[in-house]
Amino acid sequence: MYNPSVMDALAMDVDYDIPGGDDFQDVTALFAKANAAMDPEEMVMMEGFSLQDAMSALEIGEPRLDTGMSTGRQRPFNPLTPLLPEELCWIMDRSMAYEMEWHSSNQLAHTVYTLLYIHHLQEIDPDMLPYAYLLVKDPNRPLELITIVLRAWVCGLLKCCDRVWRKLSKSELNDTEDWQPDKCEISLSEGWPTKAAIARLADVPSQWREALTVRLRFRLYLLQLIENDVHDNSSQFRELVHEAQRHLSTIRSYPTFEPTEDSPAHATFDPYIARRLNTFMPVRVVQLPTREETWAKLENWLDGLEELTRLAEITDVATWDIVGNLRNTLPTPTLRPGFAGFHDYFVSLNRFPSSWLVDRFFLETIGEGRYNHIYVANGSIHPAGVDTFVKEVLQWHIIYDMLHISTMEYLNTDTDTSDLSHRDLTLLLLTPCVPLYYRYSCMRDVILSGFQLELYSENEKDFAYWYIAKIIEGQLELLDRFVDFQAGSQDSETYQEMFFQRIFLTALQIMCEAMFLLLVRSNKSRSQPWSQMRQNLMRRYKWAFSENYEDYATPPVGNPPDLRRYLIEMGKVMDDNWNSASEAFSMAKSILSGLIESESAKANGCVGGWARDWKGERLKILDILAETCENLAKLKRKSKERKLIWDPTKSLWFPLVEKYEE
Amino acid sequence: MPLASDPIRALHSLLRSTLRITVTDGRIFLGAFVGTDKPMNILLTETEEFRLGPGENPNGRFVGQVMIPWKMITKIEAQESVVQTRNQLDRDVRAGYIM
Repeated sequence: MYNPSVMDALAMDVDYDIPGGDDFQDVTALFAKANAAMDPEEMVMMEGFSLQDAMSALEIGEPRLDTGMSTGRQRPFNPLTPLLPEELCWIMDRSMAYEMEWHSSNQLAHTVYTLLYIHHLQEIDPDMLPYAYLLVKDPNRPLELITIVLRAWVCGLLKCCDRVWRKLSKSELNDTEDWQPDKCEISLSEGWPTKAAIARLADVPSQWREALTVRLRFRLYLLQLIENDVHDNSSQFRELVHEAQRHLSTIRSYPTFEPTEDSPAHATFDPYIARRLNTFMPVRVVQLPTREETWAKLENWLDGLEELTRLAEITDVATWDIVGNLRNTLPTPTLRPGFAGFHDYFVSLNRFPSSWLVDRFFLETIGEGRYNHIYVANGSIHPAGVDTFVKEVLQWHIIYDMLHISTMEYLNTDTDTSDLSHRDLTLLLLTPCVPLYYRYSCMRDVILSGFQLELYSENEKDFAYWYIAKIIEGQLELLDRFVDFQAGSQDSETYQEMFFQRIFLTALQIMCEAMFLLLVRSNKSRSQPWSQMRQNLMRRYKWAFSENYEDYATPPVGNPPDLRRYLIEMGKVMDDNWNSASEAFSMAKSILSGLIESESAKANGCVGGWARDWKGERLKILDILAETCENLAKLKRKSKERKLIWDPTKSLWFPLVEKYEE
Repeated sequence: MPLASDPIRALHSLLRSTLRITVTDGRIFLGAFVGTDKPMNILLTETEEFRLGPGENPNGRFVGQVMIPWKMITKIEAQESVVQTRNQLDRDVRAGYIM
């Protein structure tokens, strides 16, 4: 039978080497005597070591600084303590929860590393077991559960973390912000081949209970998914995603198990492990989500991978861009590896020749890519630049600047343009507008995301809406030209997309203008003087006031914002008694509802555009905005004042009117 | 023991040498002794922290420069060879062999 005292005695029956060896002599008494002999202000200090140097020392015993201080909370852990199969399931589930928390940008030291077996892999190696352990037999808790099943699991977990770590470090995500790379000098089995980890997971005998087998198989599929790239073999990848989803739903269907209070399973995790690792990060005990929340995160991750397989079959740059934006906009929990996968997919653009990429880029915006070879041949567009286009407002300006100069040079030099038709000439002039259009989108998204991140103070909100409205104004002018140019090909996805954008952005602009109206009127007694507000704006919109633009010949369009015009328009709005925000919201709602209805009636619907299969999510955004308009339209100018509440979990970019208690 | 005859001088002779300090919660610190003050707050640099027992990392972890207050200390040890060399040096200086 299992006898904990025997196992602990076995663990304790080890002589521990004293660090530093035996060549030491006790000098405590000497220090005690020195204490008595020293003057109050006297110090014994090594030459060259100042009091200031001493100030930076870490104080042992001070709980805030001394991360290694013993908390006395942790039960003693013996990696070879036998466990019940259900206790193993509990450990596996908990380690998955921690793994998901690492994906959600927590430290490894606070999450995955709290599983103590990670630090004792050698001790649970079946080939290295001390002889005494082989004599302890307990039919309910065979030691092989630890040395074969749990060891395979831990190896698979580490390998998954290793592969994810590599993918994240190659991605464009910011380490220490978006994800935490600190390994604290703990090996994630980097030098061990993934194939060996897969073999170890696959080789576990199947006589163990099904619950364990399902978990091990699930880990195996996760590892294979992380190891494979979607664009290498998308059908195999899809198969793996489906297998992982199937196994996850089986795990979910099992009844949950909680180990008893005195179970040794509780000792297998140490939330304070960071105090023993090579890290200067203070210890933080991560609040673990419930099992169901962890399963939901895993499901979300697998759904993201499934989405990637669908994207892998599409070669439209615009669709990838739209899906990326949808993931940023809709309030769904996202996990880092999913993003990294998406980024990898973007990187895979480099598999295509640069001319293809440039052609697609223009084709999907203005319907033609004929004259782009001029710029490609000149080397004006570098694929690496396009690669990072997702958020870079300045990079778009650089491309715009290059195209603008090239176009002007082409038209101003002696090149014979007499054989160019009117359409060709329009196309040529339209080409620099394409990067400009995407630049406007970036600027708009940057400001709108400030509402989702709850960045703006009360005094800043009206300016943010005003500036977005101005940016959209510029974008709508371009869209008019794009749509007119493609008037002959109304069935094309590009035309549909631009047509949709024109209507959608019109509604968004009306909403932003109405918000500006509403906020300026309700905030007549501003708490900040203009000089201070101006400084705040310069800081908040640092990217728009950046001096980097001076390095380029073409002046930037859309930035910096015209603060003078803002003040003039603010004054006008205060004096204006005619325009009503409520009516503007009603108008925006009717435009948005028109878009939604046109889609459901399948007549002249344009919501699809380049969004393709993701049309449903686009409609969801339209629905949210239409509801917001309806809510805000209720605000009557002379009605009793009601509070506006910005809550990113309940609405998108705009506030909702506070509900009165009935 | 000659080192104890002038404890402050003896402390000076231990500067730069490796000390092994055991603290109340069982941890052991190994680091170069760089200074102390009247209340015996001991400063070590290049310090490594160790814990003994099952489940502990025998290689220790690097904690850099630390200050260990006297109230935390249960034992201070200096390398025997260093103590002996310093003692011999002390004797030689007093005997006039070394000026």
